Order: sequence, then C-alpha cells, then structure tokens
Amino acid sequence: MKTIKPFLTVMAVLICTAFLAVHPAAAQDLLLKNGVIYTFDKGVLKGYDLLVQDGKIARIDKKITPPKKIKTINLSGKSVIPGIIDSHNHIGLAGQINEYSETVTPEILMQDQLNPDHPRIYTSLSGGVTMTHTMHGSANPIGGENVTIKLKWGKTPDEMIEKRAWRSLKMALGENPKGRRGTYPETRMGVSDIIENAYLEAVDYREKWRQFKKKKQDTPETDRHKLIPPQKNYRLEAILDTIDGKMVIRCHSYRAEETLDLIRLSKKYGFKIAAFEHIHQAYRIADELKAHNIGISIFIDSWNYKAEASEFTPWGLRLLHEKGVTIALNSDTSEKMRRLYMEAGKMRRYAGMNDLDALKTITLNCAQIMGMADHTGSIEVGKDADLAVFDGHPLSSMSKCLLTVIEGEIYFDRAKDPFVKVK
Amino acid sequence: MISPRRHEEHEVKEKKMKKLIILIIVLAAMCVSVSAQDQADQPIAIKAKKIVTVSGKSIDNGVILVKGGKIEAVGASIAIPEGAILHEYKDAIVYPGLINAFTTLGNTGISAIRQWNDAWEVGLFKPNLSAFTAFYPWSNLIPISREFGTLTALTVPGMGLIPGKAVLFDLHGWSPEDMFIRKEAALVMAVPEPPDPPLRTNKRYKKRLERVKKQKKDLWAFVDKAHKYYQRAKKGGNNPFNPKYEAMKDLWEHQLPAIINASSAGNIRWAIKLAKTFKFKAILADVYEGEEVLAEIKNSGFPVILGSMYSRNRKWDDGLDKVFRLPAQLAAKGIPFAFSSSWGSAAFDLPLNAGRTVAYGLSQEEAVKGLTLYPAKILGLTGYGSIEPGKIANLVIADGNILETSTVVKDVFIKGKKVTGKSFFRREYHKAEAKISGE
Repeated sequence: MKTIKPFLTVMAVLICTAFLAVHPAAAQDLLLKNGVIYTFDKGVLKGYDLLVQDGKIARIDKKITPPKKIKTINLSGKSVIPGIIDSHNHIGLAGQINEYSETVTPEILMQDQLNPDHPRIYTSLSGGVTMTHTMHGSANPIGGENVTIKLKWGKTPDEMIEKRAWRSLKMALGENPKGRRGTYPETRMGVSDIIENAYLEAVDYREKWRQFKKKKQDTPETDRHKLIPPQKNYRLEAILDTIDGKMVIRCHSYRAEETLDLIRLSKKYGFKIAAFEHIHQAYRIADELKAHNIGISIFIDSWNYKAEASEFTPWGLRLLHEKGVTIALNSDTSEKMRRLYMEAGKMRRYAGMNDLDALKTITLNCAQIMGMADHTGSIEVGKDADLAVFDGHPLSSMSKCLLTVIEGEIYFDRAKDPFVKVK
Repeated sequence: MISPRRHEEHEVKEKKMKKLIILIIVLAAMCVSVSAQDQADQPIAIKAKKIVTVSGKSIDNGVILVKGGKIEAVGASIAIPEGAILHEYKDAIVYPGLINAFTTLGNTGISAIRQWNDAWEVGLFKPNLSAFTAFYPWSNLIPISREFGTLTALTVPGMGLIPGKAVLFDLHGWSPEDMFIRKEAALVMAVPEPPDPPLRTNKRYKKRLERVKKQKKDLWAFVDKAHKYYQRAKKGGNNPFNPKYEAMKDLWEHQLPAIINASSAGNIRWAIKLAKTFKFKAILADVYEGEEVLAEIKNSGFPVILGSMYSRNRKWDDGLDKVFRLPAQLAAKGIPFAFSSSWGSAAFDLPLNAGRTVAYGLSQEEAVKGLTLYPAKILGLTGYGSIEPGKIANLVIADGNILETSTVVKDVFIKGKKVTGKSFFRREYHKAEAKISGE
C-alpha cells in the first residue's frame, strides 16, 4: 500500500506527459514577421507582419508586437499566400471513388469513407494546399455527395470535414459515364435522359408526399393510422435537395454541347450548377457560362488523353477571363495538387492575367465555387488563417512551399520535415 | 481587208512583238530565279535584349547572324551585312532550340485510343522495329511542342525489354524525310523492375518476382547471343540469319548508343554491367534511384536521360522530393543529363520540367543546359545545343526566362528559317474568338 501511491502518481505524470506529447496544446496563435503578403484587397504588402489568433487572421500590419508570448516566425521577406485550395480531387478516400454499380446514386456520401491517414494528404500539404473538395468519380451520370476537407493531417475525419462549405452533388457527362457498363447509357442522349429522369421521379415523389399529407389532413385523427404513406426514398430526397437550394451541382463535362444541355436541364428543374469540371471546351461557350453565373474547375493544360479532351486550347483561357467567368484550377491528383502554384503561374501566359488574378485561380475562386469565400481563400482579417509560405515568387516554377498553416496550426514545415531532403 | 503587203508588214511586226515578249518573260524569270537562290543564302540578323549562348556567357543586346541555315556570328557589336533581313526583338531572350530527349511525339496521338498508339508493339525483344517507320509528321502535337520552344526531339518505341530504335528529328517539315536528323539514333532497352512488395507476401507477388528475375536473365542472354552473332559475322563463316540479332549489330558495328531504362539502384548497376560486359555505348534513362549510385554512374562515363519531373516518389521513405532533387545531384557530380517529357500530348511542357528542379538545388544555367547542350552532346548532335558560330540556327525567341511559368515563346527559327505555321492551340483560339464554324 505504501508503494502504490507514489507509483500511481508517477504513472499519472507519465501518462499526462505522453498524452501532451501526442496531443500538444492547440497552437492556433501565430505571428509571421516580415513577409511579402499577397492580399487581394490591398495588393502585395512588402515587409508586413501577419498575426493569427484563435485560428483566424487577426491583423496585417507593419511591426506587430504580439499581445502575449506566441509562436513567432521571422519570414525574412518570404512570400505568404492564402492556403491553396483544390476544388476537384479524390484524395483521402479509403476505397473506390465510384459507386458505379448504378447510374444514379446521389444518396451516398463520400465523407463516409474518409481516410485521414492517406499519404496523398501529406503530399498535398507539402505543396501549400490547405483545403480540398474530395469528390465522387465520374462513372455515374449522377454520382454521390462530395465532401470538403481541410487537410489537417493527424486529426480525425470529423475534425477535417468543413461543414461550412456548400453541400455538393457530383454529376458527370460524356465518355466516362457512358459506354462502360455494356448497358444503358451508351450515348450522350442516354446520359441526359438518366439525369432528367431522376428529376422527373423526384418531382413525382414530392407530389405523392404532398397528396399524402393533404389526405392525412382531410382524414379524422382517429383514422390517420390507417393511412399508408409513400415509401421514403433517400435517393430522390437528395435530388430534391438540389431543387430546394440545399445542395449545388458540380458537373464533370468536356464538350460544349453536353454542357449546354445540362444548363438547359438546370433551368427546367431549378437546380444550381456551381461549376463544371474539366470542361475542355469551355472556351467555346464563355458567354453562356457567364450569363448563367457558372464557374469552371479545370486543368490548366492537360489534354488529349481521350477523344473528348482532344479539342482544346489553353489560350482559350483568355476568352474566359475576359468574359469574367470564375476560373478555378484543379489537379485531380496529388502530384499535380502539390504544384498547383506552377499551374496558376501559367495563367499569366495563357490568359494574360496579372499575379493576383492568377493566384485567385487556386485560392479565392476555388473558395467561391465551394461556398467558402466568406471563410477562406484570401488573406483578410476575420478569415481562417489558412496560409502557405514560399521561398520565392509563389507562382514560379522555381519556388517551393516552406510552410503550410491551417487555421493557425502548422501542418507542414519543410525545415523540420523528415520526408523532404532539400530544405 | 488588209492588203497582202500590209499583211506581210503586220506579220513581221507581230513576230518582233512575240520575240520582245519572250525576251521580257525570260529576263523576268531570270530575275525571279536569281532572287530565290539569293533568299536561301540571304543572311538573317536577329537582334534581341539577351542571347543565352549556353556554351559561354549570355550576351546583352546582342546580334546573331544566320546564313545558309547556320549561325555565322554572334556577339554584342556585330555589323549587320547589307541585304540581311533583320528580326528585332527588343524585349526578348534568345535560346538555342530545346531538345526533348525521350518522347513519343509523332508515334502517339490521343492516349486512350489504341488505334492512335504506334509506339507500343507486342513482344519482348524487338530491336528490328524502328520508330521512324511509324512517324507521323502531321501530328498536331508537333507544332504545339514547337510553340513552347522544343525544336528537336527523340521519339522512342516502348513496351518490352528491347522496344526498338528511336528517331531523332527537328520539329518542322512536311514529309517525314524533311524532319529526320537520324532515322536510327539509339536502341532502347528497359530493365524490368520488381513489383512493390504487398503488405503480406502472396502467391501472385512471388510469381511476378519470378517473372522479373527470368526476364532479366533472358535480356542478358539475348544481348550475349547478339554479341556472339556479331563476332561470328565479323569473322565470317557459318552464321544463320537472325533478323533480331542482325538489328543488334549496330551497337558494335556503328557504336549506336543503347538507352537503357533502369529505375532501382540494383537495376542501374545491372545496366552498367551489361553495357561494360558486352562493350556497347550506353545512356542510362529514368534512374529513379540514381542518388544511391551516383559514384557508379560517374565512373561508368554514361550520361543520363531523366524521366518526367512531374512524378511522385514511389516509396514513402524516398522523400517527397525524390524525383526532382536528382538533377542537382547529377550536376554536382559532373554527370551530363537531359530532360524529357515523355508522352506526346504532355511533351510541350518540357521547359517547366526543368524549371521545377531549380527549386531543388539545380542552377538555372544547368537547367537550361539540360534542355540544350547536354541532350545535344548525349545524342551526338554536334551542330545543336548552343548559339555559336558553325552551329545549326535552331533558335527560340522567348519573352522571358524559358524556365518560368509566365513565359511566352514569340518566334522560333529552325535551320535558319522563321517558322510561320500556327499550332492547333492557336487556330482553336482564333476560331473561338471569332466564333467561326470551320476554319
């Protein structure tokens, strides 16, 4: 008995220390000194400090004295940009990216198979990426509900899921959803019909429930238990969510005509398309995309890998930019995700964009099509402290990311990282 | 009615007029043909803000004189001869034409369409196949690569252990013969890599491992037999005809280099041993684990052709920057290397592959050399790779640093002639801008 008390005390101390080592106190306060800060509202601020408190950008000013002892990093003139956002990816998933057993599966949730230990998450962090829109694949005309995650390596899926983002449903047109099952759909006509049919069924389902509810009201209370309601259908309710403005559509397309066809359906049934994905022929329909306020989430110049990607020109980005279409760059893979800053740099040569507009294509524009523009995507007081520090010009091929910060916490630090040899 | 006498006079006048007209036509024709002759030899002068010679110091506000397709002179204060056509680029930088050392340009089109792939034949040992026989000069991918500065490339066959022979060409011309520099510029080989071990060793993994081991043995045996075939042919006497061994003779008869793809450290060592044992010239390609065998590569004297710099590390422990930190290590050891951008559709992004490695320790000068002088030397292109008197006038006029993401190539010259043909990318832009249906 005498020895047990000190033993328990020692054990308690050891366990607490171990716990603290594995779960350090949340470091959501940070001071970055003497950086070149890329803001969209005040331009490029040279020799400025950036103060982060409770995970939010608190102050951008020259020579900030921190209110209390917080982690301070002297950037010595290095560039700070908003954390890079990839608005179209499939990383962090534990299994298949496609539920291709059926053609319409909007009821499934990509967040159900989030794998927070996926190495590709770490690969992306090393390129300054702080948030991704992890999507269902393009095997189905109507796929599943996508999930937006902040790349908080080491945290649980619940901590990574970004609940403030718009709910979004994946749709796909063209060669990927058709001709792969040996059955319907074999043509683009079939793909269009399958999508329209889902909306017709959803509208019919709603009508049946409306009729049932009315009948219930007209039935005396004592007899209501005798009424049999229509069967609950999670699939069609997900479709109805897109009509009720609770979920936006993000649609994979390549050719201009299939894109225009979905826009037609969106007007007919009242669903909102936030952006088209890949859409290699966007340069042919810049006017229509602008008129319907639909953005694009694209590769900068990967093309010709299949027939529908063979009519394309990166110089067409100039037409889209001139018309004011929201352009977001994506990678679809973690290798490209970690060099999105290089892809954005190319916007300057293809579209004649200046540095800040080019930077928006991997930050603010992406946040806009994901419904996160109020919370992240730019360096502004009050927004999440999602930041990336680069050792050179942030859009140059010859630069690399040194530090990746999400809501004030450092998730990638090249100087200390054991998985990068060149510091 | 004209009187007979008047008619005679009229006839004489007509004959004289005819003679005069013929004389005028002949003289005009002579003038035209003389100026066409002159045009081919007509000197061209290119003036630019900066000339990156690669072989020496860069020249500010320099001039390049071109005649007969070759560089005649380059310097800061060169007198521009009378009659020379002057191209002035006030804000541009001139580079030697970039060289893509390993690609499928001209042999492949849309990746997913099998009918458009003429680089991947069936079979393991195919030294008798040549990429030049299936080279498609009208591929829309060729002007696109050219538009971003690649003016020369090596197109290689793929698949198997000895896919075949590669073709070296300039990216301008109408028929294949217009473009070829060398129809059979190298033999391509590939050392098979063992599959990644699974979490638990299973039967399938063991089978694949066995197959790879056997293929390596077979590759060694094949080269051995081909070498013996060549030796018997030299001696004369009984040597039954074998088309594959016949195709291998170039390795020894004409010192045709063999580009050997090897990724792991073990395979790189094996490739060096193969080339040294059977005494043929080798170029090592891919060399993913080159970092571990830098000394061996240096001692072998063999140069390196790098794979795409847009690649991931294959093992977690290799580190995230495994692929793009290698060029700096090769440069530090003095091992010549060339960049490549393999698949035809992605080939145009070659300069940025090189640019990326500058972030990981390679100097900008070495990066540019890896796109110009080094591939020229590695592929035996003595007239290419730098802006010096006597070299072929393959020139890229860029509005900035060729390694940078914002740079646009304004003009290219191939063999001294300014290329005016527009790429598919440019034509599509103009069509969409003006909303033209058709061309």
